Amino acid sequence: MKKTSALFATILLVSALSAVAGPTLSIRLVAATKQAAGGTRGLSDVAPVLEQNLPFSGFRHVASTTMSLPATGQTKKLNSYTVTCSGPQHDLAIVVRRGRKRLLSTKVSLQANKPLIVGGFPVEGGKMMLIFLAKP
Amino acid sequence: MRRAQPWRKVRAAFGTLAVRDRIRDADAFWHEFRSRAPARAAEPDTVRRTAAGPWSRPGIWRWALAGACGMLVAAWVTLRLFLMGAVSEPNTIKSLDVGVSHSAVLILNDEPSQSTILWVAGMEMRDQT
Repeated sequence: MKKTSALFATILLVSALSAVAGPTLSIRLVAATKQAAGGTRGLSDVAPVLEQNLPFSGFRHVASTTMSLPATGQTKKLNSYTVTCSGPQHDLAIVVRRGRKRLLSTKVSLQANKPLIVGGFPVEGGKMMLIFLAKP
Repeated sequence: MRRAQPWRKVRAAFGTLAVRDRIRDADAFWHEFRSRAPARAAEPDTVRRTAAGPWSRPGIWRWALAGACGMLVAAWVTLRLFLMGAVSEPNTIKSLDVGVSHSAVLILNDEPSQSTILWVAGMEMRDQT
């Protein structure tokens, strides 16, 4: 009986910690090229979407970062790109810069576990894109 | 103060303390029982009363507590999934401002994967600083 009580106490504790931790936002920088990149390491969840909807043959995971939601205006650097996010998951403001140049600003409502792919940033031999994914 | 007795005297000591010397006969026992029984029955039997009913079964409160905790966790998980977009709504682009010259903007919702693609075509990066 003590074991049962301990088990439920553990479940409650984990749930409480999870609730306190809150959702997170993962951001991945991906390079798309016309040549096959030899695998989609780190992109298994979005590989079908990329391959079926974008005119590229290779996708390479370049860098990634995470932040907690709601975002507090923190800026994350992903190679030569910087991403600034602020606001809650369903009213999230995103600013993407390369160097000092602002490439785009957008405000989005993100659903959990549904990727948002923001791309078209030109680089030599292809395009760069950012994949935003909110996780509960 | 009593002194410890050697083992060889234990048997003799038990013999003197034997209960058989004080055993009453059956008639004396039942006589005393019948005389004391009415008085005992008149006493409030708190032990028997608290022991009655289903809620006194051992462990039932623990199971009730465990059940309540389980329901709490289930309710929380359901609420959290609902609030975090378990419903099949796609991502929404509320506003967009492209900071460099470009030719087109494509917004695509991929139904099977529930993904959203925001693609800016023809971006000119020459004015990059």
